[in-house]
Amino acid sequence: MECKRCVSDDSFPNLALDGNGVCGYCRTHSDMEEAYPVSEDKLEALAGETIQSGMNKPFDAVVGISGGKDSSYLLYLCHELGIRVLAVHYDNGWDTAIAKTNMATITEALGISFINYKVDQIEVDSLIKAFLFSFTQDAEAATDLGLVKCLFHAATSYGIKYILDGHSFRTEGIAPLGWSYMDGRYIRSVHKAHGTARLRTYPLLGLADQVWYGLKGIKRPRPLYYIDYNSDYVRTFLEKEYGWKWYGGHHLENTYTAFFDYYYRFNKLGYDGRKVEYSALIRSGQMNREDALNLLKEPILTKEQQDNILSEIKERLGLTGDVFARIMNPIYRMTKDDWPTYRIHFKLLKPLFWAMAKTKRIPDSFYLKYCKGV
Amino acid sequence: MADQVNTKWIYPPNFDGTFPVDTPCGHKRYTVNFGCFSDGTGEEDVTKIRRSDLLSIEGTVPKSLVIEKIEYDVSGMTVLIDWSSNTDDRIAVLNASTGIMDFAALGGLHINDTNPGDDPEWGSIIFNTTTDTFGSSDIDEPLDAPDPGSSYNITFTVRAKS
Repeated sequence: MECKRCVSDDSFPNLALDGNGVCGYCRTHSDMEEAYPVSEDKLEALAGETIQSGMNKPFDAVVGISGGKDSSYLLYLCHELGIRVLAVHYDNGWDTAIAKTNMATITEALGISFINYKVDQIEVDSLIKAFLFSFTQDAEAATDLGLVKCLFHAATSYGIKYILDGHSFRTEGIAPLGWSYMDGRYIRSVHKAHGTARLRTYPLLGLADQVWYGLKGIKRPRPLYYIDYNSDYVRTFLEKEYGWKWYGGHHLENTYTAFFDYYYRFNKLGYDGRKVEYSALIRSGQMNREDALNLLKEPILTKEQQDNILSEIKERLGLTGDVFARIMNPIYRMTKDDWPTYRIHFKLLKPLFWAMAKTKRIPDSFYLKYCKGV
Repeated sequence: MADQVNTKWIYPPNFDGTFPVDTPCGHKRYTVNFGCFSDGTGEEDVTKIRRSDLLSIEGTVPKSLVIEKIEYDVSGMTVLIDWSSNTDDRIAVLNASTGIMDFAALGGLHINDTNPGDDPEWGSIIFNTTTDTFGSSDIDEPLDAPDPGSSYNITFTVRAKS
């Protein structure tokens, strides 16, 4: 079963096709096009609100950066709009040299203040190993929650009310809700069972943090939703204007993320992350379906890229060939339901999270996924 | 001509940046203030906190430093703060602004590199206000030179990790 418009298929959970053979993800994309039309006025209005909220403060907004093209372009956009930004990078120690150089280049060129939140490597690697040994599909969960906590921490340190997100549904797409799950209790449970070090300092976003930061009134809008965001144009623009460097593919700026998205998910779980991206590009008219299908026939990573990534992962995490083979064996598989999580708490607190989603204090997708259980 | 710079160790008391030889008087946390009043010259790759100077109670060099807090007031210039390491990991870019970043609740800022050996300079904290020599380095472009009269006042709280 596959969508006739994009390249979503059975590997996407709950792939509901309509009478025309078009999937629910395409319909969501169309809904989002209506909700977030390309509009200079709306972008200016958002910039105005952000700048207004930053009066008498050193910064108007926090922007999380990775050295990738979306967050780098968002910095440029903020600069053009006159938003005074504090750039924050959550550094889990797996960044590529290109990503580091890109962050240094763009922040200096635009005169943007920057903080690199480098967390304890022993704890990060212990979390990564714990998730790999648990055979779950959420081996990136700790990174995502660590990133969010660092962004909120930076925002509250300065009393900043806006965290601008560099996501673009027109080029990155919307990952299927069933592909990943994350919450602080889940991560602690998995780590308690399989971790190799004590979690003493890791910035893990817990339920209390989520509620606390939500009540603080920090908003997390996505400015790239309001522009005609073209992936190829942005890449060329950044390369030409700022000496920014392309790292070879979406999410390849971080070795662990590249491993997780393009090797672990594909080989163990059967998820091809490119389908999300290509589907989004098809829906927004930046790629045609035939080209996407042809590209999907190509290997995700080149032999050299794969060898480099695997050798770094095995070496740094101390995984021998047998252990790694066991981790990658699709037979060994567990889900979040095998571990204690906050799911019951999210459901009990549904009205609170609904109100927070309505006031843009948490992303709509969080409410839909964790509270409503879509 | 050169910038007027000064370093003031706030904690431990009576500490001047290095322990007297054979004196086992190490501390775990250090607070140090750096001031600069620029004549437009700027600083290039200046080691501000040298890891190998901060001896533990046993007189050993800490494995690494962890930054717990940065309080800053920068005016008229940009201060690039890096770890001294193989890759010159960036800690922060401070433009003209004032702020307090307390990282203690998040476990502090760590260095993203492993010590290749006994390099005493590794893991130290360095400042740049003129030229950026980041990493391996594709970026070697001069920053805007500090304006004459520009200044910074930056206080670090660091933890020595043994």
